[in-house]
Amino acid sequence: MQFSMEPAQAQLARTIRELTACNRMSERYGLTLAQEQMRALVQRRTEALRNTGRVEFGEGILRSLIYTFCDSPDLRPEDYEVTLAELQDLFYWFKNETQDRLSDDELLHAMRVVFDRAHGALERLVDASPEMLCRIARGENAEENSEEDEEDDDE
Amino acid sequence: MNELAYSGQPLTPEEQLSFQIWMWGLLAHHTALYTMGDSTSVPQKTAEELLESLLYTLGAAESEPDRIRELLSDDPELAYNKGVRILEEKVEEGKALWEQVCLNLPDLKNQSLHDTLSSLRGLWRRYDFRYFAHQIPADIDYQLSCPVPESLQGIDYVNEYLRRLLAESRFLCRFAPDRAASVLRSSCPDYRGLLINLFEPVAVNAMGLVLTGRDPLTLAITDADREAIRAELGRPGPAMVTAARRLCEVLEVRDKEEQHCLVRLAASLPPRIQVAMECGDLSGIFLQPADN
Repeated sequence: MQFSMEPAQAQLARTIRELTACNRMSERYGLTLAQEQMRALVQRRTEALRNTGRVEFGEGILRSLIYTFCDSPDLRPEDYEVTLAELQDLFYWFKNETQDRLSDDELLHAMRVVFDRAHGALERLVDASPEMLCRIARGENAEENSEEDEEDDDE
Repeated sequence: MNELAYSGQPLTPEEQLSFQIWMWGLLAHHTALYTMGDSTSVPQKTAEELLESLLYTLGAAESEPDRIRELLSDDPELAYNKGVRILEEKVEEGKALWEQVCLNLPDLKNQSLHDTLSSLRGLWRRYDFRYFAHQIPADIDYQLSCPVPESLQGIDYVNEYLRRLLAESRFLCRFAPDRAASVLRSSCPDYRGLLINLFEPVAVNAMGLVLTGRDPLTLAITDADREAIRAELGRPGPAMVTAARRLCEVLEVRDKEEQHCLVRLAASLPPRIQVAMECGDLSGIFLQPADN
């Protein structure tokens, strides 16, 4: 018997409910998602999981992403859905790149630190090395280490 | 009543869907336990391994329809816990088997046998029956005369391997070590260092001697014995299987597993014997001990 690793329809409905609840919290920062945008993000999550070869149970990481990033001054309402989608893709990609050494909360924290330092430039976040994310998650001097990483890249 | 009506029937699409939902909840719970709540997602390979472990623990790895129907009538966690208790009992059985094997080893050196038993000694600490029950965290290099079916997984594979190894070892202990060593040297001069089975050459010689009516404990086969064996093998009927059964009587082999080992080996020999008979040379099967 084959077991489907795809999220069930019930999970979709639950995620939409979760994201609707998130809107109530994020609207104080001027950030809300329409139902269509929520569906698009859930669809994007399925693709991100497939692309990274990961399996997820429950409602996914979107809710935690919103809680982690919604108070960032670099998150603009007009780019909210697109940025969340990119962050979601990067989150699963970094889970693999860090070989699951970081918990979800640790990885989200490290991503937020890099995002803030880059003033919301996602391309800088894309370039973050797994080692750097691990160091930030461990609470090491992120600024200093970031410069070292850049120097290493220059060499 | 339903069980009788459905017995042996393939699962209906509704039953398949029900079982997927049943398993999905259990898998989600066990994945959360595995990650200790640190991660909502796992690599697909990990999820597949966790699923395989659950199916094995539940006794549903073969997707047997009746077993799946039985599970569907049970609470997933209760069914899982029942499976874990059975695995725990099998682990205890495995430990006892391992001890028995160590106590019944023949006085014959073989590196792969030594390494395999050393690796199995540490298995009980490494065996993770909570998350990877279907895996075998040990290096099992020593070749049995009759290999364990690859369809067996986890502790079932290990216990069956140990049962067969114990039977082979007990059989070898019936012979004087120097005589058995002579046959093994004839089969493979470096029998201590290479990955070879110790049981087979000795058992085949013993069967050959039974065919000629001589004492199998001598293990000494001469050219004249081989001629007599050739004549016996020329008669109709399963000569080697008959010889294996006769050997059990002569040596008073009462243990069923030991008997099975001999009969299985005997049943596997005819193709090799036929080729040797066609070449007119049985010396590669019924060995002249190296010292003779």
